[in-house]
Amino acid sequence: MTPLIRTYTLWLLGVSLALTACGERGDGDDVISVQPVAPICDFPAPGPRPEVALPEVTNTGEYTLELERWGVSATGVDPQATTDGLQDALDWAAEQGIGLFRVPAGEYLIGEEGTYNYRAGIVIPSNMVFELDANATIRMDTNDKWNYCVLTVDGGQDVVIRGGHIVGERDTHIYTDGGAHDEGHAICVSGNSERVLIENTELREVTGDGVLIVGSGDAGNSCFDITIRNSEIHHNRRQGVSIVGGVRVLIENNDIHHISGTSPQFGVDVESLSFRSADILITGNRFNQNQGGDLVNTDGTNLWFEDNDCDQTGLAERQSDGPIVHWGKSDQVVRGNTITITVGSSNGQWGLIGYSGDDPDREGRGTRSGNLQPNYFEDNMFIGGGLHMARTGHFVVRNNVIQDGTMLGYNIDCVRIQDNDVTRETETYKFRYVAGESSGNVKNGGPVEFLMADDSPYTNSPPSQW
Amino acid sequence: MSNSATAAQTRSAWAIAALLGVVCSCDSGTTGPTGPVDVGPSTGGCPDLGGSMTRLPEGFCIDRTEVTRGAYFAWLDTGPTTDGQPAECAANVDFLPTCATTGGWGLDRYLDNPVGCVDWCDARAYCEAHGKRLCGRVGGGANPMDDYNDAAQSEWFATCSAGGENDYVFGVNYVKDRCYESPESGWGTTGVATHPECVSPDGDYAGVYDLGGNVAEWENSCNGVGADARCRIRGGSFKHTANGLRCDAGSTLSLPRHSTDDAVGFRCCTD
Repeated sequence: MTPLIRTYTLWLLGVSLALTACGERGDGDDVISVQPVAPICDFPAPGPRPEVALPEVTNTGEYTLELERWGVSATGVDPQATTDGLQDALDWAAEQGIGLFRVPAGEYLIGEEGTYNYRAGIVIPSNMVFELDANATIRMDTNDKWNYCVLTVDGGQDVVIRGGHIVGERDTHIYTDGGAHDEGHAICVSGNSERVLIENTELREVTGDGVLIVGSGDAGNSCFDITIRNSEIHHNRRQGVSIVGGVRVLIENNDIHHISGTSPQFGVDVESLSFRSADILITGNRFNQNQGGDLVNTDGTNLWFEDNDCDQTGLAERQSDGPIVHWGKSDQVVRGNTITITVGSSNGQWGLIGYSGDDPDREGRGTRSGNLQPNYFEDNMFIGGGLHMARTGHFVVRNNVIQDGTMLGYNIDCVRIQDNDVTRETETYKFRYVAGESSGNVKNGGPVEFLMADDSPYTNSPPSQW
Repeated sequence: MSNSATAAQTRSAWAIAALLGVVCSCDSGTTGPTGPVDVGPSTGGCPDLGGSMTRLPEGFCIDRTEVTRGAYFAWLDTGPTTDGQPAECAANVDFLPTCATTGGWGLDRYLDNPVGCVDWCDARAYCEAHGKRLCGRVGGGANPMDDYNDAAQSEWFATCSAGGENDYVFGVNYVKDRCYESPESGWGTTGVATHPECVSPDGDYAGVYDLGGNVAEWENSCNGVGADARCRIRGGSFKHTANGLRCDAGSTLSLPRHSTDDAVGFRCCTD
């Protein structure tokens, strides 16, 4: 995974430099100008709201882990024996057609030597519900490995992980040989797994991610139909959830908070490397005090971020990027969220910001890195910060309320700014070279009009304010 | 555009506003790269009243410059009545620009800059008061909005495009800063005709300045006859650049009839 920390100062410098690109002086007095190209502004509707299939566990047998039979300790000791015993029990259960595998209350310390940089945990078989008692904790033992997965679903189908607590060892981890040591995860879903449900569990204190969803093999591969719901994911070093190749992913009604320690430190991070991420629904979650941000979408398509609460309250330091960040190749619907900005980020007081300086193909074409699908930002409430769009295009921004923040657009085209309500003493709507259409917007309680059109880049504030 | 009902009251309100220094988005005016061009008296038998005009091959006369603050204020000094306005302008109870005196703009300053902050009804009234009309359809009347880029129909577009030949007032290709467009420094309008190259290269149309940039211009081209109809804004302004200065720019650009903007003024036409 590539860390997402981005030196935004450099990006801003790029913006400044780009201002000179509209026209250059030749040797004589004439100004040589690039001929402007009218953008093509089609606005297809958002993609369908993602629907995610749940597991269909067809095995019908039930089994409760017998500690003595398998040599498993429930008192937090003997990780080697506990790991082997629990794995043996699971494998046996799968052979027996067990569909519901129960783990009684207790402290299960696991972990055994895998490879030189991998600490092995437990692999959950297909076609099974792995159900932890509410007072059951599976904890990775202290180690010095860069990688681990407390629980793994690798190439599995129809798996449920439910209940209890999955805990890492970030506070006792041995960070040898330098490096990030950022791949120790609570649950890994890999190998193009299908129909996995994680619910009603706590995932915390790992060196990496609460859940890592990662494709395997050929470029474009993915895991499919992954659901994470009703869980608490917190105090992990790297992420709440990383999606590195996930199609049809539902993240619903979770508390994702206090992600901090090593970059990117987001609640949810979508960046697919060579794999593919699409049709992701993140809804009804509560994000709080995640040091990087709450959502970053670098390349996921048809991502819906809906009815979430993103709250910086309690953060002592600015977030590095967030709360919500999207990159040029991605497309998303960001709708119905409440975004509270207190300390801001390294970029300033922004609740939603696009990183699209990587968008060299956009100019004059009304696309974002060739992606013709618009971004829809609708019905959100921003408190203490605003919405930042720069050097990109194709946005529908409507019916948002911004309290004490700014709606900013710089060098964007094909934008629809409709029925927004911005309240702030200064810099309510701040535009420079913005082409699009606007209507029905409100500024400090009164209607406001902008002289913008798709074919008329528009500026409403002096250069001295940029 | 305030609530005083008579011309005298309008003038009083205007003076009070000047004293109070009411603040809006207007920044201080800027000057162009040269002093204003002396556009000379009207030619082609066009009237001089309210601004120098020139006659175009299409047969109508058009103001050589955007209506200036000086000309507009001089008209206000005559105490124009708001009586007799058409029904769609009945709610227009005065002709005071909404930002006439703000941002350090005294009543005696920047008189060569185009007037802004006037609504469509103000612009219409000014032109009518000078025996002209707000530029609209060739031959008079409103130009249908869909005909905005038809040189045979739109007086404004015919002038800017030299009868449909050019994309920009100054030619086929965009040349940055040929007209007064979104500045790299400073803000606000500049004096009319201070960009001598912001004219048509076609001699028949060459005497008309600033059809691109400085202030955008109301056109008698609205999407209805009601008070709430939206009317076209032409030519771009100091808030626009590049494509925004095309003669056919702003295909979707309009404002409500009673809206004002410090970057929107007007010019007049007549036969």
